[in-house]
Amino acid sequence: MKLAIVIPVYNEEKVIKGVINSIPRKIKGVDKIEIIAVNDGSTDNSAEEIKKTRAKLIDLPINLGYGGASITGLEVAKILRSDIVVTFDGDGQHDSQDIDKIIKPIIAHKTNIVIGTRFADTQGMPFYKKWGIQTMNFIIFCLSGSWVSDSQSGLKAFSKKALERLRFDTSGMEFASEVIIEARRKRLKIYEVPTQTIYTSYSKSKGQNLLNGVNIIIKILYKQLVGP
Amino acid sequence: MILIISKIFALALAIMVVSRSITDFRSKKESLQMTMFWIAIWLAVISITFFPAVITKTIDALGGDRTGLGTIFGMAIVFILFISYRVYVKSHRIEKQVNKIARTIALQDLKKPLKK
Repeated sequence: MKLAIVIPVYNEEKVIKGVINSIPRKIKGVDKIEIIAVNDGSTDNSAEEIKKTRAKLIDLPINLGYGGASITGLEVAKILRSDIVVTFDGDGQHDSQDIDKIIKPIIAHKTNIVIGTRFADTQGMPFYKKWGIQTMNFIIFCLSGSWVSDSQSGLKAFSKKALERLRFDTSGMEFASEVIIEARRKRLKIYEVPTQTIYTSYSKSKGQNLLNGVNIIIKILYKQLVGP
Repeated sequence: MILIISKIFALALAIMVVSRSITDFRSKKESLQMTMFWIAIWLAVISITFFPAVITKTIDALGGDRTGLGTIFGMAIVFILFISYRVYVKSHRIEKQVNKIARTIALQDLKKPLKK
């Protein structure tokens, strides 16, 4: 079983090396782990920091956005013929020990997509973020019919089958929502697994603002109405 | 007072857009038709701002009492929404193409050894 961990990186020179080094070298049920760090046109030294690690660096010539970088990473995972792919944020908000937890349902063939939910323990989560995510959950539910407790989570796992069937075409933060809508359209099962979130002043500063939320809704609605 | 500020604001915007459009035309970034289109649009905006009576005359010409100010505003909003939609569609299409090109460049080296 080959596992690929996709990390979209945009201006994360301060933390990216630590994030990559924290990823376990061995996971039960996995023969090979490949880390794919997608440098999304960073203007700082993120690419140089990635080169110092064991991750494979994919350097995008311009900034495509969170979705664009994630989709590029998923493409790389497909080329490398990975059996399971995990998307993992580059800002250090995820606990790398959770990778094991979110791939387990896929290894056990219970599901095709797993989302790591931050809502099992919301201690430390800013109020506006909690409210914003829940609003997005409701909108995604109205658009897809699938209810998930954390539609905006960046920690996700995909089976090979899911990767082959899902078609993404967003480029920004709306990618997280697109995964759920697209999974429902392709009748792929989604599991949720409670995960830890590491709230530091750095990871909080990298969060989304209200305007971005409005932008996500417009883009998702546009895609639903007009198509890809 | 508000009327004077809005007139100055409209004039400043018009000068900005028209001068930008002419500069773009001179540097061959914009076509003559597009430059003429923007000049005509902003001349119309300035005419309405400085001579609001134009609207009354237009309403009279379009049928007097039967065509109210609301109809003109409604038509203007529909037109603006249509333009916004077209611009959004176009920018979305361009964004997708840019993404595709950037991804192709980034994955070029990775695909080469696997093709052998």
